[in-house]
Formats: sequence, structure tokens, C-alpha cells
Amino acid sequence: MKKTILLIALLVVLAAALAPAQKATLVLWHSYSGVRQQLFDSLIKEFNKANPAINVKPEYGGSLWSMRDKLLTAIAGGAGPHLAEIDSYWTPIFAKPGSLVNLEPYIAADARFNKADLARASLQSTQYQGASYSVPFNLSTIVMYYNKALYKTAALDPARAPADWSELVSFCQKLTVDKNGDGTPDQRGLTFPNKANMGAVWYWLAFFFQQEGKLFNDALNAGAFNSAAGLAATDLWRQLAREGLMSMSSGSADFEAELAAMELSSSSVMGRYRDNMGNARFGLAALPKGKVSATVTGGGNLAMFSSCPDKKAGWAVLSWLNSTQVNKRWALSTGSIPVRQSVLGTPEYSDYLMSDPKGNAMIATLQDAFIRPNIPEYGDASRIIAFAVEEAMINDQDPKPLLDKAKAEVDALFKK
Amino acid sequence: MRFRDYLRSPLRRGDLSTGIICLLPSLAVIGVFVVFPIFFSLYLSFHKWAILTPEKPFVGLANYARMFSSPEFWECLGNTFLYTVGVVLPGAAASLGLALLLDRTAAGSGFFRTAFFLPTITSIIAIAVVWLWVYDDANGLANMLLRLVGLKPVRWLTSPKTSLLSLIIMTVWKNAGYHMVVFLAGLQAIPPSLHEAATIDGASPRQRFRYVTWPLLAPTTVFVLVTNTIFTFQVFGPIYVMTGGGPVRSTSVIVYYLYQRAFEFQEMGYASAVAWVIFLILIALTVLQMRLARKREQVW
Amino acid sequence: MSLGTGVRRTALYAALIILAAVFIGPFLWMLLASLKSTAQIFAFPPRFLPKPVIWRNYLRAWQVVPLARFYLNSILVSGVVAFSQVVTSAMAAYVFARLQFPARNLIFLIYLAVMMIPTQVTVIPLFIIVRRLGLVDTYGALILPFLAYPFGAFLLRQFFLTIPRELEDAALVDGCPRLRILVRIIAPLSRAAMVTLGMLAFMFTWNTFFWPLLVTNTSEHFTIQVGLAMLRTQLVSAGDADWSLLMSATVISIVPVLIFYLFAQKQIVRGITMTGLKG
Repeated sequence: MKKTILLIALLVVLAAALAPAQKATLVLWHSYSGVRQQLFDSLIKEFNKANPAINVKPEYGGSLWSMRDKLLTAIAGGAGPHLAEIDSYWTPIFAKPGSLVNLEPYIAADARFNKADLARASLQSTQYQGASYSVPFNLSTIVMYYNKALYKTAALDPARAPADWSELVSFCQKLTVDKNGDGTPDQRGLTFPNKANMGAVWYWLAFFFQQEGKLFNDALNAGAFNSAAGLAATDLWRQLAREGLMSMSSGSADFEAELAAMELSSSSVMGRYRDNMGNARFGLAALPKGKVSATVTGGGNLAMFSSCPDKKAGWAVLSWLNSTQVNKRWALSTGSIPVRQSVLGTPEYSDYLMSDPKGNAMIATLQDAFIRPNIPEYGDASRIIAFAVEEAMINDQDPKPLLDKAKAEVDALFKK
Repeated sequence: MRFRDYLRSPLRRGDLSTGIICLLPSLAVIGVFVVFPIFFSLYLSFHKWAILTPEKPFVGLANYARMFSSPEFWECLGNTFLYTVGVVLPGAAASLGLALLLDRTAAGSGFFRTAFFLPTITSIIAIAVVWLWVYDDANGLANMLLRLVGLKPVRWLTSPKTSLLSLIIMTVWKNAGYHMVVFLAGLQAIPPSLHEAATIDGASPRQRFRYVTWPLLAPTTVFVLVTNTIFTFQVFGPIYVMTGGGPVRSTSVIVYYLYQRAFEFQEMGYASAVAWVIFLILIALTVLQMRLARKREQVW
Repeated sequence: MSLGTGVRRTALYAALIILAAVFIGPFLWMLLASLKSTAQIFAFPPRFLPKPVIWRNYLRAWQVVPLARFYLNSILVSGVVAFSQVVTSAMAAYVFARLQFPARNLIFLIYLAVMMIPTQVTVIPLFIIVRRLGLVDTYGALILPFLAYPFGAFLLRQFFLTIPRELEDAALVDGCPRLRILVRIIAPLSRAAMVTLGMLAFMFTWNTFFWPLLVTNTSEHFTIQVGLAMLRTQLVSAGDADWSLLMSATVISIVPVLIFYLFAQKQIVRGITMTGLKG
């Protein structure tokens, strides 16, 4: 009897001793490797140090694209992470079935989290049906890179990228050169990274938005892209393709290799071009203007999954990673666009902007940035639109019937 | 004679226990890790499942009905058949050709074998990096060679007319060494004495191939055709990393379609229905190939 | 006659050399690219040889991601899987090639059918099983599901069929157990096929990307293909990777399979000469 009491007492003491050390361990999947992973890990280490009750475990989950499949599988198998970086346009995919935690209550209760400070487009990308389900972290837009040396050779002003669509075409015509006279140009005016599983829609959307186009109707239950805007954007691409001004190959290295004089690409690759080409050799500018200026955002948001055992702790992590101080450091080291406007005003970031006109041009694009519509149907719809645009471009066909057909297919998606 | 019949009688007790012991490890692994997933996918094909929610409402044959009325499904199936025919038959012929060339070559055969086998050991992702460059419209190796001999450049992967063919050429190239090794192992299992006997009997090299090599190689040939059909029909990697099904759906094959439905759009039930149609097609093709082989030679 | 043979020989070697160039060409490009700077890789007009040769690419490949650890993981996983598949396949193949029992061929067809369902729809239930077994992020998840696969049994069965039955009939009459016949008579005779299978299984496991990415979460268990994917992600987004680095990492990733292949090839040749089938 005595022994039992002693044992119980011992256990109680032991439990009491262990209790404060019992940490909430939160697993966070991200898409960073190499130097970015080192930076991300060191940020998390700092957080863990400052918050002894929380232990965040960062884990590499693949590129954002393959991480989606990993997330789906893991969540179905009950082994998903508590927090993860997701491609900003997947918020509805995970929010709709209830996999993500609605962050509104946590935002409301967190005095340090200033929602109004978030850049407009990055705030929009967190929304599903009017509520925030993620916080922005790594932000990019589509920008225009241009090769100053090739501009000079073509007698173009190396301080200026094409301002509007007609200039885009005329610049491309001047920059498309058949050097060895075999009838095929060796240098193209324009390229964009047409990667296998991303397709061209992301880039096409920017031109579509420049004509004030709307992908869906206001009730968000039917396609609306077979409009004048859709036709104009597709016709521009069609012309670039027909005249051989745009390189249609995978082209992921065409710009670096100076086989294309201009590239539509994510602002996030600026660092790579700086390293590989030299800062003076290329320029960065906003996309040429249509009726209005427009670009499209991309990047990764951070989200909390419903499986998170300690949601307060989870929110603390998200809020901290999104804070001005942390976001400033992330933006300065990675070239990501700051998701908080207050970052721009910090001395370090102002210094950076003063020293780098490219940084300024990059930040400026954010004012005209659109997001991809936050509805679950967007993904499938974008695939259908991509086929129509591609067909018009490659077969040099009138886009009208193709976009009409695509609209009918997209309308069917909403009826499912 | 009667003794031998006894040895081969179906109920020989030793055979039964040996059979069970020998199959046990395989069946255990496959039973645990393969059988349940397969039946689960059959179950799913009659249900709707969005992956992220546990609900799996029963929809009867709706997934199958939707599939058969979807033009995209038929288009993808058509592309897959073209791709499979384009890869399997020329591929088998190429591999057998290489194996026969090397089977007779003494000097340097190790070098050549390694050369032909190199593409096989490399992952498709690495292969894709190289072949995207080979097929590049403007500066790729393929068009460089065409120009060198005065031919017009081809839009290998950027035209819907040539993209599937380009993938077929790459796949035949990648897999030739793989089946060559299998054929070589098969060729070397043929006792040299048979060839010697045939030579002594005055058979020409062609006759020796027709009457000695070809019949004895039949089990290997069946193996190559059957497994290559099974794997080629389910092609996914090159499309995933190189074309994304484009341009204009020209390389949209059935498993890529299924993958998109399953993971990009979270329609796991529908994707499972597609998977089971693929399964039925492959079973039919396999049985057909085996029947044809059995008619010709006693290999089955 | 000897002149004709000589001409034929020359033609044969000419054909082989052209074919070899077709097969090696892209690899040569990769190998040379791995020793160039990115600017050199894409220089126009293209330059064949690297100048200067940048050996540093090979050092950097190990530093940017923990490639060495992934390398060892892949060797362990692929090695165990390959060995196991040879053993389990040989046993199963013997049953299907030699033993008589009702509905044998139907059972065999069902066995083969396992390969006919696209893995894209079975991967989630497989993950659920692995998770139930508590194997997520362990070597077990990378190894156990692949210890046996019907492909190997099919391959070996077809080879066993080519071995004359007479060779084992005598042993059977003497009352030798079937299992011993498999080990003592069949296995040595089909050494070439078994080594071939081991190599193919090693190669296949080595090159798998999707499954390792799904079931492993920490760099203790990542495989080489996940490492290459890491490098590619960096190439696309961050500034600390480039094409030459990706090329050198790819070359590094091919080497073990190539070594395994060269070893296997020797075994195949030796296996043939040692079996003494001549008599």
C-alpha cells in the first residue's frame, strides 16, 4: 500500500515536472531548398527560441506543385502537416472541403496583426468566400525582363521596355533576328517559361486583365472570358506566334542564353538572372499596357490545417512569419515582393529600393496586380481556357469559336 | 511414361506444399500492399470522392457514364493507343535487332551494350532535360542536324502534328537498351549446341534464326511485348515533365488525364473508374497477346 | 569467303558505332554541360567542349543540398529491394513455370493484373496502409511495399520455361525436393536472367520519385531523386542553382546504376560460361 502511494506521488511529481516542458510540436511543410531553406530554417529556429512553448518543425514537402499531391495524399491518410505553404491560388481547393482553419477569429484577436497593412493583391489571395484562410508569405508578379545589350544592337533605348501592345509587337519585330540566314530566327523577340504543368494561362491572364477582362460573371457561376478582352489577348498572342516573334519551345533558359530578347516571367527569378547574366545586362519593367496596366500575382501562402492540435500556437507561427520584421528579411534575401506595405517604409528596404531601380519597378507592378479568381472551379477552367488559347495560337485560328466552346465547357463545370 | 505422368499429375502433394511455400513471400507483400489499394479503387469507381473529405457518396455507374460520354476521354484513349503501338512494336524490333547485333559481336560488345543501356538507367526527369534541348525549335540538336543535311526544321514538341511522334521516338530510344538486355539474356540461354548442330546440318544464318533462335526466344518475346504494352499504355512521366498533355491535347494520354482528374481536380472516384477501364483494356490486350503466342509456339 | 566476312564485320561495326553515337550523344552533352558554366551551355553558336573546365560544379552539387545522405539512402533502399525481388520472384516464377495445379495460368494472369492498374489511383490507399503500419517517414515505407513485384516473377518464369525439363527430371526421380532443384539447378542456369532482374529492380527503385516524396518528410530518409527535385526547384526560383549544377547532379545520380550495370553485365557473361550448357 505504502509503495503504491509512493509510486503515485512520484508519478504526480514527475508529471508536474514534465508539464511545462510539454511543447506543442507543429509540423510545417515548405517548398524551399538550398539557401532559402537555410534562411527559412533559421527564421523558424528564432521563433522556437522566442516561444519556448511551441516547437515548429520545418520539413521540405517538394516544389509547390508536387506538394499539392503530397498534401492531398497525406491528409487523406491522416498524416498531413499542421501548417504548410500552399500555392496562393489553392486556398479554395483546401478551404472548401474544410481542410483549412478559418483565420478570421485569430486575426480579430491578434492586435499585432494589421490586416489593412497587407498589400491588396496578397490579401485577396488569402480569401475564400469572404474570409481569410491563409496568410501571404512569398509573393511575386509577372514582369517583363529585357536584354539591354540586345536592345542596343537593335537600336532600341535600353532604358525603356515596350509601353503598350503595339510597341510590344514592333519591339519584337526588331528583336527577332535570323543571324545565319537559314530562314529560321536564331533570336526571338519574346519568350515565356511555358513549363509542362503550368501552361500559358498565367501569362495570358495578364494580357486579358489588361483589356479589363473578367473570367467569370459576377455571380461566379459561368464563364465570361469569350469577351472582347479574351479575343484581343488571344489575337495578340496569335500574331506573335504567326510572325515567329515569340519562342514557343520550353524556353526556360532562352532569356539567360540570350536566345530571346524579352521574357515574361515571375519577378522571383530576378536573382537568378542577376547571378548568371550580371545586373547591368538586363532590365526589369512592368508588362506593356493594354487599355489598363495589369499583371498577375503568384507565390506561396501559409495556411493552418484543421488537424492542427493547438490552433493558437499555429496562428502565432503564421502571424510571426507574416510580420513586418520577418517579411522584410525574407524579401531582402530572396527577392520576394513584400506582402506588407509597412516593409517598404523600413530603413533597410528603402535603402534597397534606392540602390536598385529594378526593385522599384518590381514593387510598382503590385499596384496593378490581379489574383487568379478564388473559386474552386478556377483550376479546371484555366485548363480549358489554356487549350482554346493554345489552339488559336498554334493553328492560327479565329479565337472566337474556340473561346465560345471553352465557355460552354466551363459553364458545365459550375453545373456539376 | 506412366511414371512421368504421375510426376506431373495435378495433385502431387509435394508440389502443393512447395507451391505454397514459394508463393508465400510474394503473396504476403502483394496481399498487404497491393490488393487492398486495387479493390479500394474499384470501390471508389462507383463513388464520388473529393479526397479531402471522408464522405464517399455512392453514385452507381455515373462515373463510367460520364467517362464514356466525355470526348476528352476518347481523345486521350486514342492518343494512348497510337503511342502504345508506336512504342511497343518498333521498340521490340529495335531491341531485338540490337541484341542480335551484339550477340555476335565479340570485341567491344561490353562498350556497345553499356552505350545502348545508358538511356534506360537514367530517370525520365533527367532525360527530359536533355530531350527538351534536343527538340528545341530554334537551337535544338535535332533541328541542327536537319539543317546540316539541308532539311527544313521540324516543330518537334510545339506542333500538335508531331508532338506525339516526338515522344514516341524518345521513348523507343530510352527503352531500347532495356529490352535489349532482356533479349540478350534470352539469347544466351539458348544452348550453343543447338546452333552448332544446325550449322553442321547446313543451315544458313537466316534459317538458324528462323528455326532455332526465334522459337526458343518466344517466351522472351512474349515477355517483352506483354510487359512493354502494360507499361507503355500507362505512360505518364514524359508527359508530366515534358508536355503537360499539349500542345492542344495532342500528347494527352489516358493516365495523364486520370492523374489530372484525381489530383488536380480531386475527382478520385471518376479517376478510379478511368483506371478500371484501363485495367480491362490491358487484361484484354495481354490475353490476346498470350493467345497469339500460344498458337504459334508452346510458351504458355 | 574471308573477304566477305571482313566486309560484313566492318559494316557491323560501322552500324554499331553510329547507333552508339545516337544513344550516347545526349549523355555526352550532359556530361560536357556539367563541366561548363551556364553561359557556356547555352552559348550560340554552341561550343562542344567546355572551356574552361569547371570541376567546381561537382563539388557544389554535394554542398547545395545534402546529396550524400540521399545517395546512401537510395543505395540502401534500392539494394534491399533489388535483392528481395530476385529472391521472391525466383520462388514465385518457379511455381508458375514448373508446378502443376488447377487454374495455374488463370492465377498467374491475376498475378500479372496487379501491374495493370495505374498507381495514380492506388497511391492514396497504399499510403493509408503504410500510415496504419506506422511506417511514414521510415525506410520501411520505401522498402516493404516493393519487396515483391509480379514483373520479376513474369521475367524469370519466361526464362525458366526455356530450360529443358530433362535437366531436373533426373533429380526429381531421385527424390530431390523441388526447392533444392530451384536453388541447385534452375537458379545457376538462369543466373543471367536473375542478375538482369536485380539490375532492373535496382534501377527502377533508384529512379522512383513520387512515392519517396509522398512517404518521407525529413532529409534523413529522402532519396536521390527527391534531392534532384530540390535542385530543380532552386533552379526555377532561387539564385543558388543553375543548369550546370543540375547537370552535374544528374551525372552523379547516374553513376551507381551504371556501376551496378557494369557489374551485372560481367556476371551475365560469366554466368553463361560457367553453366556448362555446352554438353
